[in-house]
Amino acid sequence: MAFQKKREQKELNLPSLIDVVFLLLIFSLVTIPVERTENVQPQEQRSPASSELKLPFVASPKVVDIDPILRSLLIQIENRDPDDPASGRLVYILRPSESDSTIGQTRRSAIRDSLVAAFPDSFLALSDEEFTRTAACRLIRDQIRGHLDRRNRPSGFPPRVEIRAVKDTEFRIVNFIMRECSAHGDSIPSISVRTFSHPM
Amino acid sequence: MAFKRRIMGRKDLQLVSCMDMIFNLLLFFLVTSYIATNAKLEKRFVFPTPKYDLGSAEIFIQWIDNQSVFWIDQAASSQVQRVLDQYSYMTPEEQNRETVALLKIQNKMDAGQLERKLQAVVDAADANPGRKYFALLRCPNEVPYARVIEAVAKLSSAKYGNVEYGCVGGSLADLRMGVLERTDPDGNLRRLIRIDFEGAGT
Repeated sequence: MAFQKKREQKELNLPSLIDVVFLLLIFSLVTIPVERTENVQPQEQRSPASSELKLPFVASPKVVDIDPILRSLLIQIENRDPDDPASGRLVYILRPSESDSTIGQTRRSAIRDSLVAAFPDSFLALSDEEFTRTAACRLIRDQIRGHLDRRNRPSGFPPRVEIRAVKDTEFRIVNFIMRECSAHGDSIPSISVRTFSHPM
Repeated sequence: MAFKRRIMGRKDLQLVSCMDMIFNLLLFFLVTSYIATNAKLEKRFVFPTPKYDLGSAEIFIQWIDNQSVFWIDQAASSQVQRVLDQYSYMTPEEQNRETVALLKIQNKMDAGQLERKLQAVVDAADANPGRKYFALLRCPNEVPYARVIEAVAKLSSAKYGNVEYGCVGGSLADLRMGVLERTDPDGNLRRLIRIDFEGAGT
């Protein structure tokens, strides 16, 4: 007795097939630019000659991780209320340590060690002299000076200064920090500035 | 009472719909994980420490507000001289007001124009490695710093590092301008714009 299984011929569903093809197309469109971006090397890595000559390097902004190990003196400007840019500004001084601390850990130490100060609400109305005498400016000035002293830095750490500020930070604050850095001549040859979009 | 078991027909899984769903899920996670990663990243600029020994500058950039700037270079000296000649009967204070007003109209630019101008300076510096350029950037104290930092980063991208810069705080309202005549080392008479700052400026 012969059994024959009757198989039904299945047809491909055309609209669904088109759907899949379009999804594949979108997928490749999204992934190709990501691959291209990842393959581009930063400029300083591409030209070793420039680092040998110690030419200043800058070019395009580099995207960096939010919580790397702290290797420079980080002057962090935050809003008093993280959600309100008009709430005033706080400055945190984050000092690098031997124990390879992250920004988050060092920020907690800064609160404990009173390395935090608030800019007065009306600091834009102050004269230059009054502004530079505020507690926040004095803290910045003293800490930059202290960081240049080799005894205050972990061994092998260069006297680098980094500014990390919320995007609405007033130019007066950032300019003050840059001016303090340049007051030490070539001791601080470059400054790095980071935008700060997500308060911790 | 008789219960009748409901006979359910066995349904085949549709391959095409299944693939469709898998790709949808894949795309969703790809896009959301990309956004989540980017949210934790920051932009970072590295540039040489500014110079504050102000003297003469090839370029003067004054921010008016967050969106617009006022650009003065050598080309503006003839404009200033023309205003001073035209309004020679006025007091120096009035002449200054007229000069600033004219330059504000003719030399005001937005962020896109500023970027192109800065690129032109960087290109010129790259083409003349032996020449030093100095740009003075002046910004009102209350304006967010990001715009100035972007301009500094652009200027510092010169290949030979021959574009130096200085930063000062202050607004357009306290600028004072005039023209100086100087003889260069080749004996040619050159007209330079003299700019004085007043008021608060850290």
